[in-house]
Amino acid sequence: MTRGLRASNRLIFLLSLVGLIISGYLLYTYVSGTPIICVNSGCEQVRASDYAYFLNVPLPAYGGLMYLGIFGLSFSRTIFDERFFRKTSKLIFILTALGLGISAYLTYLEAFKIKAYCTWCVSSAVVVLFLFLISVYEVVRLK
Amino acid sequence: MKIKGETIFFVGIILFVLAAFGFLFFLSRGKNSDVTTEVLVRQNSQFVGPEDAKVTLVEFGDFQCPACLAVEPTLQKLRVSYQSNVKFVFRHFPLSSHKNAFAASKAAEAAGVQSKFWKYHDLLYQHQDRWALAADPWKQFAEYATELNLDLTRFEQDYQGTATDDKVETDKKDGLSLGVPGTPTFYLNGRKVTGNYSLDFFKNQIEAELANYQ
Repeated sequence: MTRGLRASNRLIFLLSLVGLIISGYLLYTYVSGTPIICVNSGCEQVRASDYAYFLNVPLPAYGGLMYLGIFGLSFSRTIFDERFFRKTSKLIFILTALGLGISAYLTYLEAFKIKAYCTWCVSSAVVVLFLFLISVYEVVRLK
Repeated sequence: MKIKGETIFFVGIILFVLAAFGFLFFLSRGKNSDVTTEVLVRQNSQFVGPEDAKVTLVEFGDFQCPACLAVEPTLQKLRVSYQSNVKFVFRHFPLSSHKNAFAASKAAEAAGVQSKFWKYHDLLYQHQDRWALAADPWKQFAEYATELNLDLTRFEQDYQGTATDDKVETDKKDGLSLGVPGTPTFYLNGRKVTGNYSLDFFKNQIEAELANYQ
């Protein structure tokens, strides 16, 4: 593994961990109904909106699954060989592209439908954007 | 199989994060303990139900908060179902991010001077979308006062007066001293209750508390 790829995997690992913490916290507040620590009332407004659940499952659960997947893949890369690294780079690219698309749509909903921003959701969107950019770097490097 | 240095590095990060969360959890454990009734319910706090009820449910609420509005229909049902044996207390906790919340609390207190706090409280939630973002919500507040047949001159005096300011400020300070994290926050007989705030959730909690006094 080159130094560049090692650094990118470390970044992916750390960012997915941050994403996992964000979605884990949000999921906890959704399930327990406790107030969300937030810089404004946006988090509560977003949680109370019609878009907070998909198929009766809180949205942070889906985000959490995505981050967990990336987190697991990134960790596994430290155990297995370079061929595994190559394969997982495409998988991470697909996951983050999907995550970025969904995050972009959710940010659009926050801006134009709910008219309130949830700091945690926006932070998660930024995390997934960086994950996507790093995965693009990996895919290009491993071409 | 030889474990690589990179794997150990990643495991180290995971353990560090887990330890940090464990530590935070340990620190926050003590904060959920029971609180003194003295700070939780003041002599002049707004309440409905029997004054000497064995069970008291205190809400720290903000009239401009969407989550408080969402839980209000449930609370209204509870106030009817348990009108004979539960004391429902409302404490003001206007968040600074809600620009008209403090003014709304003052208006509700001004209505309270004329014994219409709860009716005014209901109107504020019912029309939250109308006054919440108004540049000056006084026009709406005066409308609700008129709707409840309040003496408008007196209402305006109290709304502008410092007594209502002090009352709302005291509530907010009490909330902060209790560690109220946001709105709505509930205390049932001095114990902070958290959950999904559904009707069943509150009923189960209240019934369990009532059972202690049978």
